[in-house]
Amino acid sequence: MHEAVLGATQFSVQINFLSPLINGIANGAAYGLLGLGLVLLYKSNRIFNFAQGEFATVGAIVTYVFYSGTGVLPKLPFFVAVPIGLLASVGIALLTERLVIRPMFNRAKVILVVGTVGVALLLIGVEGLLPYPKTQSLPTISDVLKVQPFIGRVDGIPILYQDLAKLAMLVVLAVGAFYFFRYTRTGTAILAVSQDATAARVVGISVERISLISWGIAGLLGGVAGVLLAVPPQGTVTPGAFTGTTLTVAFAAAVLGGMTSLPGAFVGGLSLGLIEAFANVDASFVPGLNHVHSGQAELAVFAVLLAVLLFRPRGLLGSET
Amino acid sequence: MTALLEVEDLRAGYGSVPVLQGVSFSVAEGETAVMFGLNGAGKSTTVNTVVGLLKTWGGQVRFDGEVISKLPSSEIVKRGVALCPEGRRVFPGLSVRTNLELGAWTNRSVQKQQMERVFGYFPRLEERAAQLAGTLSGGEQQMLAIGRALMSKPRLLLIDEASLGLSPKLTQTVFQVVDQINDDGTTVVIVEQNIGVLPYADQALVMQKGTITFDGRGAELAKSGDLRTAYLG
Repeated sequence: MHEAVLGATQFSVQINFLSPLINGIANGAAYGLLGLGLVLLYKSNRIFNFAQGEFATVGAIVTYVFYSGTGVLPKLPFFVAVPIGLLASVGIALLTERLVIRPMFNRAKVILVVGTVGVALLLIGVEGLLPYPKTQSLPTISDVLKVQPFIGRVDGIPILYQDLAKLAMLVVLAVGAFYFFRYTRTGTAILAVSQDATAARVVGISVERISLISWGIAGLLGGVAGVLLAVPPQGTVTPGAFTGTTLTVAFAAAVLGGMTSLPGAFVGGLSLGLIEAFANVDASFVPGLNHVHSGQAELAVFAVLLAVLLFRPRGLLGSET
Repeated sequence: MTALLEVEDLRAGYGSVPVLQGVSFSVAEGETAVMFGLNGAGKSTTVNTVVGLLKTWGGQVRFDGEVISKLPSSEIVKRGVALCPEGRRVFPGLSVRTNLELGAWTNRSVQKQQMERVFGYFPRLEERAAQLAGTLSGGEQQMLAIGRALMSKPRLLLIDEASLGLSPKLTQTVFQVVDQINDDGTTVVIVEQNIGVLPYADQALVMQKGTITFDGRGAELAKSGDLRTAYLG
């Protein structure tokens, strides 16, 4: 709580910094989760994958239909439905690699990017045709565990289990992916292929196999994001749920962190989540800003992205790690 | 001596443009063969086709008696053929050590032993093992590219343009190391435009317009007019 005096105008204001901090971290974790998959495929194939949001949506939808027992499907426990959803995400990612990316592997990168846009649009269309209730959400971790939704309150602000789960998963995946690239043979081979596919072939690496592995991992990361994000209050299993605003901000997060850095996706995601949240703080008490009601967050994200592209195009942590 | 590499009526090209018009030659085990020719003669296309980077349109390649021309490059490397490609093509964002480790991708069991061997040939690489390959000088990158090719412990080493962009002194050093590699038991095929390599050649090949126009001993080529023909037309 602050009592603020600005210039000659005196006014009383209550700003709670804790609420945007918590919301920012929670949303930032979501952007980071999607951003991880984007960075992975940028590292391995040097393309922006516009289908990454749909890998998340497919994982969420398939988890939902098995968890709720939609149609003729059996109603399965949540922790059984989730692996099936993740498998679906991986399967879609592998099919994308096999049917869209690989046949065009030697074409210009822009053609591959357009190919991923096509995959996203196709998947949104197919999801729309599927007979399931499209406004529903997945249960939160607390729903599944049948506990109260928050672990406690800080200064009256509830700390949700779901937000903690998102953050924990983001940390685990970012650290895991970092170690994967730095310390495993397959991770190093993915880097080698991304730097020079011909040289990778020369040393005997199967570029096709490495590409398939990269897409499979990206699908898995997308699926995990979908299952964690398609929850109340905002998340649903609607077709194209994660290809709109979420993917756009996830791209911005990945660029902010540095498109080639996995920890960068983590840092970029959290940074943008926080920027958005703090930009949305009610600033109507500031003289001259009392007419601003919406759009601040988008403007702030745009301003930060522009500044990064202008002054630090390789991002905050841009490197091959 | 038995032939380790046999190339028979090999045809290949890029897109729909043919480059190799029926290339035939063989290289005996333990020898160093040098392939000369002008730009566009088909030298690089030949070695790239031998290691499976380019598809064979016709004819065949046999390595140690086995037909390898339909195999993917990963299988060809596994069988003991390694290429040091034109332009070095090291992995610029990875360290020297990681570049070398990747060279042993198909034969991990020999990684440690081969790393020591490579550092023996090129002590400079050991000094710079932690450095990113993209920050090495041109000569050091050439050493790394040759070293990386040796990491799989190949029986046949193909080197495409070993001297390209190197100073005369460094070129001689590289040729001497390649000669040492050959003396240590690896069969070598060098694609070159620099005739300074001729003293190291057991066998010499001259390519023109996608075919072999001379195939003989290195000393014979030095005496004949074929080398002049290859370069001056």
